[in-house]
Amino acid sequence: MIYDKDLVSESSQQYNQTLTSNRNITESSLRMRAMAYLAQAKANLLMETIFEVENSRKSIQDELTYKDEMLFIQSRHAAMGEMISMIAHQWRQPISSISMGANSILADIELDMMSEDNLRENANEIIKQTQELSQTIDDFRGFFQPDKMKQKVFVKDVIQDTLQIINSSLVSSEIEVRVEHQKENEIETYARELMQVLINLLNNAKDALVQNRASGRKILISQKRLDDRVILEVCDNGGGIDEEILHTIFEPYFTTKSDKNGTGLGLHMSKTIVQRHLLGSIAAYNTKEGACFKVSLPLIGAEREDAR
Amino acid sequence: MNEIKVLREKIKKLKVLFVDDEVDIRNGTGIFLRKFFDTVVICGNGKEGLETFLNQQDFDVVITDIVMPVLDGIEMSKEIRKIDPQAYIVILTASRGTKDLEKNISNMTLQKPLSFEDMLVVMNQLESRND
Repeated sequence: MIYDKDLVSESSQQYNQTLTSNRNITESSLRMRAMAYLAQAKANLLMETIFEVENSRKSIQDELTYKDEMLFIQSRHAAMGEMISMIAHQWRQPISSISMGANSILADIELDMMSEDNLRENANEIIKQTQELSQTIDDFRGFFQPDKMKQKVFVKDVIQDTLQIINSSLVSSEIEVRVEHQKENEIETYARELMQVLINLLNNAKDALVQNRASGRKILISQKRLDDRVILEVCDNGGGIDEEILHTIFEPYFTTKSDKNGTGLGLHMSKTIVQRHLLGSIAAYNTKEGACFKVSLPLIGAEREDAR
Repeated sequence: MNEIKVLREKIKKLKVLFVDDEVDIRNGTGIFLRKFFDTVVICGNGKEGLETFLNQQDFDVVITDIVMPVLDGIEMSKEIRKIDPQAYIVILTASRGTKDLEKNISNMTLQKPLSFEDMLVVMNQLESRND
């Protein structure tokens, strides 16, 4: 075999080239593989991250629903506490009268002052007052039954039912309540939820008045028609809300009340109810004398016009 | 005559000023108090009570509610104490827990509503003071 040196060298060069190119191919394929791995790894990482983000988003959501639920439970407890205190106020007077009637009878017996007339009068008074107690139970039981569906109600009736429940507690705080009815405004709504909102606004006004004002405490409840809506306002002369915090008052857990009654949920719940359930809006503003809360709700006529 | 009637005979001449802002309580407790005392003058708030006390000055017993508009029962009692350190003052409270709080202002703090049992205690104390 004759080795052509050149040829050999050529071929060897070729070989070498081939080798090199082969190496090149191997290198590039390796590099590609590595890149692919890297890409895969990155993709995996990305997937994981996405998964994680998704997961954490989910858990945030879970937590939010949990928080919402807790919020509802807490606010229900707060509402319950308020209810009990309202019942207590409502019952104080009749209980005291019943006790007085029985004690009078006892005194008459012991002091030999018994007469049929006195006995009859005392017995009748006791009966009358027990009817008051029953009436309170009926009022509150009605309030606690959940609204199954929307019903047509006059705004003035909702206001009246609300005052029936809360008036004693306002009166005992020496607050004068005035109601202004402009028109026979009728709405289709969850009446008891609207009552809950009104009770909350009135309780807030009461707390502000008791805290800031020694005498001349006043609350004005008014309603008027504005286009296709009814504007329901609860205003007090309790000094108003700090302008600096006015924009935060509807946030959950925000409270200015130092005592145990301040859960910071009342206004938040009121806003949720008004917006989501009653399809209205709620806002607060200050007047010269105090705070006003304005609830705007769609009138029945307005909905009919929409349907047409 | 039973014991309670004897007790009542001894204290019925004492003059009583009764102060409460709630009309129903005023009527109910007012009538109740008149079963024990011959003279019971009734007022609707602390300011009215203080003015009446100043005008007549011969009251032996003051029975008052705490929470009232214009002038509350505690402030009124402090003023009355200044005028007449010997006045027998009973403070009626709607809530539990205020019992010991007002000891140095009143001679007795009772929980509303005033009962026949409460009146026996009040009458006994008044009688022992008079002796």
